[in-house]
Amino acid sequence: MNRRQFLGSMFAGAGAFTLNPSTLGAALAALPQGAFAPAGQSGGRDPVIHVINRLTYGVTPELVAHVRQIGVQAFIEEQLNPEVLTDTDLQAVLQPLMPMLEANGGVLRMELENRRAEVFATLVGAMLARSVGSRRQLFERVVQFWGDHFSVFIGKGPVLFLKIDHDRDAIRPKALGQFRELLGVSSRSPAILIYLDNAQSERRAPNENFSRELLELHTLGVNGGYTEDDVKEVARAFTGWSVNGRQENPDGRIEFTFRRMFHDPDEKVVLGTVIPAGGGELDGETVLDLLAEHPSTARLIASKLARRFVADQPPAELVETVAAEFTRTNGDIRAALRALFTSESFWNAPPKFKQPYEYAISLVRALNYRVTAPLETARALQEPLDALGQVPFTWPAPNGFPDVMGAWMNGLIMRWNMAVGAAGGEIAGMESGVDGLLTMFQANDVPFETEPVLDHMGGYLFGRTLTAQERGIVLDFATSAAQDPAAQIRAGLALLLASPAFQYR
Amino acid sequence: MAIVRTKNLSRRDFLRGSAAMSSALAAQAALPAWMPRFAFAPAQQAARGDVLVSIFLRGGADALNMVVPHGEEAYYQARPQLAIARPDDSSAEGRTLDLDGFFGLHPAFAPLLPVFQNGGMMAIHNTGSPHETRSHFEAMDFMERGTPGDYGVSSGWIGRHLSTLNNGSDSPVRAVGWGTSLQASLRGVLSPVVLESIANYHLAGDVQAAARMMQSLGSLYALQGDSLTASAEATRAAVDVLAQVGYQHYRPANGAQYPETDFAMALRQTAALIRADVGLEASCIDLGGWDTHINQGGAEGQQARLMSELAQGLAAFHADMGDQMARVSVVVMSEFGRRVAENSGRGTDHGHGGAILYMNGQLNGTPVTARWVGLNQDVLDRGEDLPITIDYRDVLSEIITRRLGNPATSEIFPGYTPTEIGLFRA
Repeated sequence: MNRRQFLGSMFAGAGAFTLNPSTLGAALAALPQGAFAPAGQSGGRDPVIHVINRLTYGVTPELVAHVRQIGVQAFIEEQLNPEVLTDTDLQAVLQPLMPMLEANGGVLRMELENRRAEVFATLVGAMLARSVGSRRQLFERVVQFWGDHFSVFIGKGPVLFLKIDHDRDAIRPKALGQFRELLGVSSRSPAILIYLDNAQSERRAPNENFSRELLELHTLGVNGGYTEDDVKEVARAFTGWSVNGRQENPDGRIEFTFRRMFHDPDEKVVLGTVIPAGGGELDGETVLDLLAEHPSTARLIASKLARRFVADQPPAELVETVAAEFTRTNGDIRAALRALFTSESFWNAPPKFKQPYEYAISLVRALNYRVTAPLETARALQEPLDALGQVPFTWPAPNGFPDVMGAWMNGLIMRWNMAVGAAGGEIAGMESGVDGLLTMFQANDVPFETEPVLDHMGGYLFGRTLTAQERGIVLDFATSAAQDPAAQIRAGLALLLASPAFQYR
Repeated sequence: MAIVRTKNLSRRDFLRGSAAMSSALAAQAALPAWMPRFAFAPAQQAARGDVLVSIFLRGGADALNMVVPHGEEAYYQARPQLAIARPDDSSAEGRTLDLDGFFGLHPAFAPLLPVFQNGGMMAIHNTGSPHETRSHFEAMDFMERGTPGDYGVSSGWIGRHLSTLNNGSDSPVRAVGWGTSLQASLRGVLSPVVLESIANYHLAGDVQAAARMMQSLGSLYALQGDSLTASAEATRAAVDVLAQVGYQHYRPANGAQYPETDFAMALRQTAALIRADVGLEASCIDLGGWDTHINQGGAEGQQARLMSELAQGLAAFHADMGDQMARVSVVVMSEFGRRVAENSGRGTDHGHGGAILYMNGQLNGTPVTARWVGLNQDVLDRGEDLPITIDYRDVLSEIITRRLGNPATSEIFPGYTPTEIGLFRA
């Protein structure tokens, strides 16, 4: 099944992403003080907005107020230690999804084979709800990062169901832990073993798919110092790493199993190291040890983290620094991230173009939307995300969604449409936040008039005041679009969110 | 309805002129909406070359089961489960469709058999990019750059083709990449358009409000002064042109039936843009799913379904284009072929040499061109993969010079001296 056929099969009954103009309501939320305070220094970049843009899925009024209160350094430490943050509201919202999210993918498959769209909405809805609403923003971003690093395409066979286990048992528990542990759990996960065809690999003629992508994408990198012979030897080492089937588990559970009958027991030589004959299941672990501690792996992980959090072409010194910290700490992901966020390059980073998913989430966060019904949200956002090119878990190749501007910069029209839709209307499954946002302005002593509200948007959205030219264009557009201030402000917001400054983080 | 214009008229001015023009055209109600309205190349320029339609089969398509060497005994020995039966094997359900007594087509290519037989299409076998990598991503990257083994050039081969082809066109839809992210082969085009659907390529909502917003967005992006400025400008220009195509009224010619697949829809929309004469010169389409490590299937199955999708789409496009195939070049390639021998999972692992399929109205009539060396281990690459005896740049260079009207192959494939193959009528 290709990506299109997969999405086609998932779109039946997609919900509404409507453009219902609504008037200013009386709903009054908490009123964070300081969210709309002017940027610290005129002309320069506001460090509060910068750190929010890099570590999280984007500004919300509460978050800006929070970071202004505790300071950027404390915020970084807080985000690096998500255990201390509670997510009570989010947990309540996710509650209806938990039976499925806690089930074994194989059991789900047996029960819900003909209700794949529901499983898909659960998977995507949980990710959307967490991206939009979790206080553990950095954690969720790192989960997405590893989801791309160990990318699986959920249109292949049972992978849709098994992605639930992969996410829950491998990526989420280990996202900020030791890389070797993450690599180990991920490599044993049925989603990976089936997606990369290792489950069927037998000694007679080993399947090289998993071996090659393990070396090229998960650890050493394409020029990381392995040969075609290494690919074959690693494939031999992993023969037998498989999953059990319905014969073995009548309830449908799909779990890792080692099939000794499939395994090649003879000696292997990987990267010059001899793995003696008779290692059995441990051959694979030996290979993972060799790969995890290899300097090429440290460099690959460091460069990918730096690309995600700093720049498309990160400075070489930064990559070396982060790789050195990764190596020094035996692959401690949290330590590597801390090294990244305390580097000078991080603070001087050039604007980074948002991936489509990042753009979509930052849009609804900036507009103060809250997910109330994740399944509805998933159905509502499937189409716009598809038009943008980034429905989660649907990248067909094992290298994950691209993380450079060049891949995404020609899709502006769909971004503009999404900005208009989100600023002007409502999104199913979400509590519309624009009215609440406007109320907060009033509570911050900003008069409810087009000009002062839009003036304050520069500091909130971009961490700087609007230039005179930007201001003129936005006010002209807003005032010509409608009569009443609420509609004018929404129009101005749509334009600001579609503008070039909001395409970057 | 060509609009003759002077060299230094900007695209902006030109579009303004065209807008005035199109209201004059509105009187010609009998004219279908998709008929020519613009001609972007100035009339005094030499005739343009073919429109290039570049199709990339992502994942490494198994060329040996696509263009089958049924005359080769070693093929059947290497693939006891997967081989496609000989054309005369009456015991088999699906059999190779013979082309020349040695090679034949997979049965799923049946819709294209008459096109091959009538000289409208050919396969070039034992071809590919010579870099030894078996990585999908590296192989695709090198192939689309057109510089195997060299990352020093950042643009793609089609990007350099268009940027060196000085035909004076500044059509906003000179190059279209179908999908949601730009194909690497198109990198280096001044303003490529990436789209999935002509019909949806506009700002939603009230027409006047959308127009005002587009205007304001244009002003905001102009302030940015980086690559996004050009992208936004290209987007706005493309929106204007695509609105004139009237795609919803497009009816394929000659009874062509496109299947309802993404791939076929990209071909259908390409055909509409060619018909509308809006200045399309390169169209890039992807078809993924060819990484058949397990359960590849033989005459039927996974790969057969993909080939069927490919063949049905191409056959519809060929019928739709009709006589216009004389100015269209369709090139189908993949990053590499697959291992000659099948693996334990009834699939094939990454290989080396593969095949290119080429559709054009001026071919020499030979259905398969190959420097075939057989499949014995001593001639195979690394002893296991189809070797490359024709560099894919030889194929593309000949198409570029003979059909796309661009002599600058030394800039498109820097450091490479192509060898003539003789794909076309003398």
